[in-house]
Amino acid sequence: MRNILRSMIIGFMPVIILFCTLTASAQFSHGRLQATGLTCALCSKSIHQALTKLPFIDSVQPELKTSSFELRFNAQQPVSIPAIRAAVEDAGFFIGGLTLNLSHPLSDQERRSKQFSFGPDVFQFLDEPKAGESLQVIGKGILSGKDFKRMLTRYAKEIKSSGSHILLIPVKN
Amino acid sequence: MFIRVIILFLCLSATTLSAQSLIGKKAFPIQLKDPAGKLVSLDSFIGKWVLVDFWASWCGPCRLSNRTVRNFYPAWKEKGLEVLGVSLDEDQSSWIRAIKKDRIRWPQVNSPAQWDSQLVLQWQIERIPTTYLIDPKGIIRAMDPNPGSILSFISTN
Repeated sequence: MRNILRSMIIGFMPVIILFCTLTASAQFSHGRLQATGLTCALCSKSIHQALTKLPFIDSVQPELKTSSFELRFNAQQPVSIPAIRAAVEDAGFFIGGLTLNLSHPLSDQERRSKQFSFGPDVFQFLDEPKAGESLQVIGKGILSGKDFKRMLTRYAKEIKSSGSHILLIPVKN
Repeated sequence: MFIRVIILFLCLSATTLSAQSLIGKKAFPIQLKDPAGKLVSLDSFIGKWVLVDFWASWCGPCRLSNRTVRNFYPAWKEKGLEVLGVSLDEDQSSWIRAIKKDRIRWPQVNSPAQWDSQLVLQWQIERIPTTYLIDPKGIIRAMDPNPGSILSFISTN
């Protein structure tokens, strides 16, 4: 009886593995948002309300030490970078920087193709983040003007070729 | 001439509708727990001037303003003014840590719902720090008064 069960499991292994790599797509568990503006972003109700209204955000916690908001994402909804940007800008601020953390390791297919889909967006990354690293979102409006210019000179080729994909670069936490 | 009066009236109405100032209104009740867990009520300060100070441990300018209040507090207390700090901190330990670090010696209470509370709506808190000066009868007399005007209020009235 045990042998039959064991051979069934072995027989089904390839199917199970294939199924896992096909359906388990990358997801973000949490992130860090820096917002800049004429007044203190962490001190303002408007930006906090705008972010908590987003369906994919579970919680928004301001942090004095890093001058940023720690965002916890809702596992059920895909994170939308354009929605985060719109919320911040509607509140009268600008995104100074946004880093994201994957909720689980990338699949082999994602590692090979260096990209993954998440909801309506396609994310492209330069390298898979190592332990203790986050993914920095590179894009005009998602990075302060000065930082974006610096990224543009360093990763000009990658930024040009990413097109409509959202570019992610691993950074130390 | 009549048209000008109408236009002036409309302009004045527009400004009063949007401003919705709390000056002259009775202070909204505040009943919250202090660091020891004891319930403190704003009502208990009737008979004294009170500066209600809305802040949070994660708000940089609030931490700086704590320093200013700390410097003025002895002189204010002597003249019959009390300060009531109301923190929006969700995390109690961050709040208590900030009280210790900023060497806060005046009454402190916590409204642990960050921006999502009836208190924030009633007192029209759009950003922090926000302070309100309440007179001994419990009426709101000023919003974000500077130390100079606080002294004028409590010295002459």
